[in-house]
Amino acid sequence: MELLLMLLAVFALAALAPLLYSFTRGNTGWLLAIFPFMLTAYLLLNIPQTMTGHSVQFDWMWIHGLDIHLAFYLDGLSLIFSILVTGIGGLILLFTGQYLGNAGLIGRFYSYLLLFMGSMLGLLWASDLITLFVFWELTSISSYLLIGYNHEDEQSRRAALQALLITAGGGLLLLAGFLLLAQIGGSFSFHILRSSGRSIQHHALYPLILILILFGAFTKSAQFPFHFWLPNAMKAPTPVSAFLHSATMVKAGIYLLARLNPVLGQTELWHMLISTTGAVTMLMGAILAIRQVDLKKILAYSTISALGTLVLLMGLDTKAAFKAALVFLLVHSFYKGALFMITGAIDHSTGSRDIRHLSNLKKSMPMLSVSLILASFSLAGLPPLLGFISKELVYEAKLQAPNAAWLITSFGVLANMLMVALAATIVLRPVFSGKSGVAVKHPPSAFLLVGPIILSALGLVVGLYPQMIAASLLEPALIAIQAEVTTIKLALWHGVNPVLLLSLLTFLGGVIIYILTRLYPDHFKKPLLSQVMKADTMYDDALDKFLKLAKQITLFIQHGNLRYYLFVTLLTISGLLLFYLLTEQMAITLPVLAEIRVSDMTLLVLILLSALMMVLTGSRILAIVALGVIGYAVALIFFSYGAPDLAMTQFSIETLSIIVFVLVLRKLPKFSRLSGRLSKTRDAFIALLLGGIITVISFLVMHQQPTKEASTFFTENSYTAAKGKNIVNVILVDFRALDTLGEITVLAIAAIGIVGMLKLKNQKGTSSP
Amino acid sequence: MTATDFFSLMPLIIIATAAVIVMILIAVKRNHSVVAGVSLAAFALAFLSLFRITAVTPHTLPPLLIIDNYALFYMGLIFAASFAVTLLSYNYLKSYNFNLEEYYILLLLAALGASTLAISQHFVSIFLGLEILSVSLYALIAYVRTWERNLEAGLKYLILAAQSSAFLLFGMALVYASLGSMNINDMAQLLSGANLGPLALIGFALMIVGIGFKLAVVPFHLWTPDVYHGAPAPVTAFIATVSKGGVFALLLRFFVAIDIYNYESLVIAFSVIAIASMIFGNVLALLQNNVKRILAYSSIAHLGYLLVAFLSGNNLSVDAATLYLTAYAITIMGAFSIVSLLSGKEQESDKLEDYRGLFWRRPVLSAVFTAMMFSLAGIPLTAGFIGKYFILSAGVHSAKWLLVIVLVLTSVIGLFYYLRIVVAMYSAPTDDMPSQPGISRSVSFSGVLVLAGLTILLVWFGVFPQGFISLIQNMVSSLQDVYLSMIV
Amino acid sequence: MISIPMEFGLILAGTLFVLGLIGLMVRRNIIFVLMSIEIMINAAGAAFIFAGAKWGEPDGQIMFLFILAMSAAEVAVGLGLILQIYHKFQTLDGDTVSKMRG
Repeated sequence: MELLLMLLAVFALAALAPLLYSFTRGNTGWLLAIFPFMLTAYLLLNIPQTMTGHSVQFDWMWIHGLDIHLAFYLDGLSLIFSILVTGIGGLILLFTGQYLGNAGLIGRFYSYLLLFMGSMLGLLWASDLITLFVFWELTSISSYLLIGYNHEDEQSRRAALQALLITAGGGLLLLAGFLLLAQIGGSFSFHILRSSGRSIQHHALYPLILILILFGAFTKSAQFPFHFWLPNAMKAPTPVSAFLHSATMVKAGIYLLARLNPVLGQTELWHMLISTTGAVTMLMGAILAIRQVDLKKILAYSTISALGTLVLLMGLDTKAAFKAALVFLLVHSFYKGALFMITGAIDHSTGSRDIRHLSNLKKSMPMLSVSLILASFSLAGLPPLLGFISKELVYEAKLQAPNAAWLITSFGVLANMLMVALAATIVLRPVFSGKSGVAVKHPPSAFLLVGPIILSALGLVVGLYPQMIAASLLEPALIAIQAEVTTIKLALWHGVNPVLLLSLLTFLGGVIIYILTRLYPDHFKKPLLSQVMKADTMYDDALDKFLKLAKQITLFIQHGNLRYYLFVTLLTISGLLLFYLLTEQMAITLPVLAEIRVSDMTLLVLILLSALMMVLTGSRILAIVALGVIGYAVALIFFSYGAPDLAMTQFSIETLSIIVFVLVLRKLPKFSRLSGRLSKTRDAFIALLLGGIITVISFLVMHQQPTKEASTFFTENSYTAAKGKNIVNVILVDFRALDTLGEITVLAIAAIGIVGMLKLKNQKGTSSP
Repeated sequence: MTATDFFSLMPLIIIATAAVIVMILIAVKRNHSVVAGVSLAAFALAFLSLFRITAVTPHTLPPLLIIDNYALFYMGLIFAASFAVTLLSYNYLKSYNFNLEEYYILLLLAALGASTLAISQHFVSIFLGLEILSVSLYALIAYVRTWERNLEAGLKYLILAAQSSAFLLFGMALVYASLGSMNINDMAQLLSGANLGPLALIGFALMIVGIGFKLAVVPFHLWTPDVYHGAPAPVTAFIATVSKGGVFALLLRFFVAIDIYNYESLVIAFSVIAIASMIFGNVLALLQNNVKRILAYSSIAHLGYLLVAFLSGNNLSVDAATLYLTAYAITIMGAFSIVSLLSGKEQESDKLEDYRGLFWRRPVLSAVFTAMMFSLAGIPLTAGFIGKYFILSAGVHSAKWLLVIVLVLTSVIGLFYYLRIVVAMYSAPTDDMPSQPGISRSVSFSGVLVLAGLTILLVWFGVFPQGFISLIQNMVSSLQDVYLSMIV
Repeated sequence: MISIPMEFGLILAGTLFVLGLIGLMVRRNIIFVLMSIEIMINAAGAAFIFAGAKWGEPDGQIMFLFILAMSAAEVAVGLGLILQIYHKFQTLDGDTVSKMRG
């Protein structure tokens, strides 16, 4: 229950934030931050409980018949993620208060941030697939709102739409995957799915389920080839980038993989798909990162690389890999959150984020420089920071990879070398170079500093005393993934082993790459790989091409011309009927004409000739006469069928129609020939095609055997029950009084419609010709 | 006819009587407000009378009509939607100064036709219902003739609808010639899974043309964008909800009764239609710059989704289809309410450009419109999501993979154009935009009423769907029970 | 009483229907389009008559009466609309009236 209450409280706070802002203005940030910190405290207090393997649970039947629950639980895995969300969230709120100042709609900005925080917590705590999905989409939407916050900027709007399209689109595929999973696993609940365990993996649909779910996870976690939305999303204000697009939301895909590993993991397909994608993304992100000069872009691409590493570790699917992933997750959130906030602070103070223009920060912003150095060391994986421990663990996991270990490891080493070079790039020149760069307009205030300092200090403290997170956070999380109790030992020093050698190699390589970038900066700006890898432009091209195609299709199909519409419909019907004629193998017999009386034959010929004349004539009087002849001839046929009353009705209606036609035609101009010969021929051809088919169908009637006896109900009952001799009349008046009423209604409508229209015309005063 | 017969037809009698009363009122003295009030009262009364009728259902009036819970539910949907349309129309027509009163007669009669479809079980009543609906719509579409496109829309609808009626009739005639009955139940018994025979098959195929036209599914959809665009916004809302609702009720009843799932050729035809509707509806909507046209194309796609539920052919399918239709009706009514509230005599606010920066001028309206777009896109916590969820489940349950995959992929395309509208609303207004009298007009009380009601429904449906789902399951399960018991 | 076998009736109806279709396709003048639709609807009505005759039931004839009334209503509304169109567009060319597209 408390989980639900806490979520509701976050959402309530989100709703109230604009109101609060109108009272508290500049103080809103830290006031709002109190609540996330309280949540963090609550979560930390829950550590002992999760260490014993228990979890806080909440379960409410949401939709009864479908077994969909609104269900939450807090176990080791969700705990570690949610501490990051609330903790970093609180720091971000502190930061935002200063960073955005009092710009116009900031109340709304707080609102979106809290909305996101609530959605993310809901996602992490969900113990039901549908609950998870609902919050999953909510995070996409709140991310959309935050990226598009600078709505005046065309680029921001584009980036927001792109991010939402990709993540929400992936979300829809995810939903399909969840539905299939529940169909096979028998439930939406993680608990039950988990206990049904590996049976799902032997199902024929397992590959489809996995692929659909991976679409969701990969789009959210910006994996190749969906990675491009993330750098574009950096158009958002820096607190958003720090919070959503590096520390929390983009990790949702990783979380999902970890969560579903007990259900879907441990298969060849899982291993292959996920680790390949992760490895490619890891390396590609690092390569693209080194080519940037904008501090924020650098961080964005290195985030992609880090996400790739995490996905790769999920794909390796070993205990060592999960352990490494959990530690790396923490480290990355610490240092990347810090780096983003530092970037924001620098941007705020100097107005620039270009590393080529920044210099001598050690003088102008000493505190910030210290935390920048600490965070970058973590990024580079240097001792004695937590980054070093995590890198060692990651190497260890890669070396132990079930297959292609050497390839994965060398990918990893290369990516980490680039990280070292990156760390050097963002620290050395901006902090230590004495050259004069961009001037500091106003030094960062305490609220801007507190976030980066705490996060970068955490990297150091935990690095020095790693054991403090091992038993409290990591073990319960590992139990949640792997369902077996394990003890984790973390230390800075493991003795001389292959992993240490790899670390040394990484450092050296990184230094060399850094020197190369300084010596030959132009080589690193060339669009070497970026042309190939720039999926962003591919997205644009693809979207462009698709839209062009859509336009052509639209103009082709939705031609606007009435006759064209008829043409399409008729062609379709012909196709449909032809399809049935061919597939159903119907036999056709020609009718025998001799059975018909001469008088009837004459009538038939007359009808057909008149119809033909009506269709082809240019004279309007002739056309009306032809129409009349058809009507009267049909009436005559009814006579011969022994239905004189019907014939009389037909006569009168026909007469009426003709009079109306003549009256209307008097008001209208002469007909002119409008169609060209060619189009006429084409149209006639199509009509004849359809006609041929219909005629063939009519011949089919010959083969019909009656499926029932002709009814005698009305003939028997018309006199006795309704006291009438003419069956049809009796039926109309008595048995079917209701529909006759309906018929009268139709006529009434017609009258009203005409009266309405003609009246309107008169009122408008348009003169009739 | 017995007293029960009359009693069970109470809603139809109320509507028909109201139409007559309105005619008399017009003859005595024209007064827009009074006429609108009478129509509103009639729809409300008819809606309320449905609750009393549940006591006698299912009640058959052989051979034409059947009043079961299924029919009651669809009638409820029709009356509620008509009620909303009447409110909107009152608001919309106020700015015109010609004879508006006949409009309400046509509206009442069109609703009468649609509800006749919901209770029909015989070709005669089906045909009558369809024609009462169509002929009223011809006049309604072209009723307000401020722009040339009103007339064009009316003409296109007239010609194409009349043509499709001809096909429907010919199809009915062939089916009758082949089976010897025009009553759905008799047909179901005569067929009871047996081979259709060529004549009946062709007859059904031609009937699909007629029904497909009214539902606006590809390739019989061509009228939709032009008519949606050209008709006055409240009438468009009426076509999108009442007209399609009534026809879909008929489609379900008819084809579930004859157990279409036994006839592969018919299922193939419907599947092709469903897939084409989903693909083309969504693709054609991509580049539209007119909100009404976007919604027109999206309606084509949504009908495609509905057909997926229908084609699933399991015990979920009628529930899922009805649920989706209800959710869709709420949503699309909401969307057109906003279009119609912003429109008036001076201007029909239907261009995407009109909505640019709307958020900064009309935040509440934009928020509601956003919710409607999210619901159409099937994003959680809206009615649309629950509907889509049900359809997907139905499809997955029956292993209709192709349909399910097309549905999911085209939904992704759909996101794009719904979000386009949302993005336009939230983008900054530019200074050089022409002044739009419609946009700045204050929303009348009736408009607020409709919008608030629909928004609450939308979110309530999305967040606490339990009540709706149970209601729908209780009401429409009668359809399957009746026919299943009959066939077995 | 029955002088024409149903099969022939249906063939007649089918042919009539097709002639109506040809008119629908070939003609651009809205009046002719309307007339052609009338023919198609009449053809469908006739098909009902023949089908009813086959089963010895009056249902077909009843349906035909309904169809007659309905088509009369349709013609009436249609002609009203056409008059309006003529006032607005000064032409009866269906193609000229088609302005909305895409």
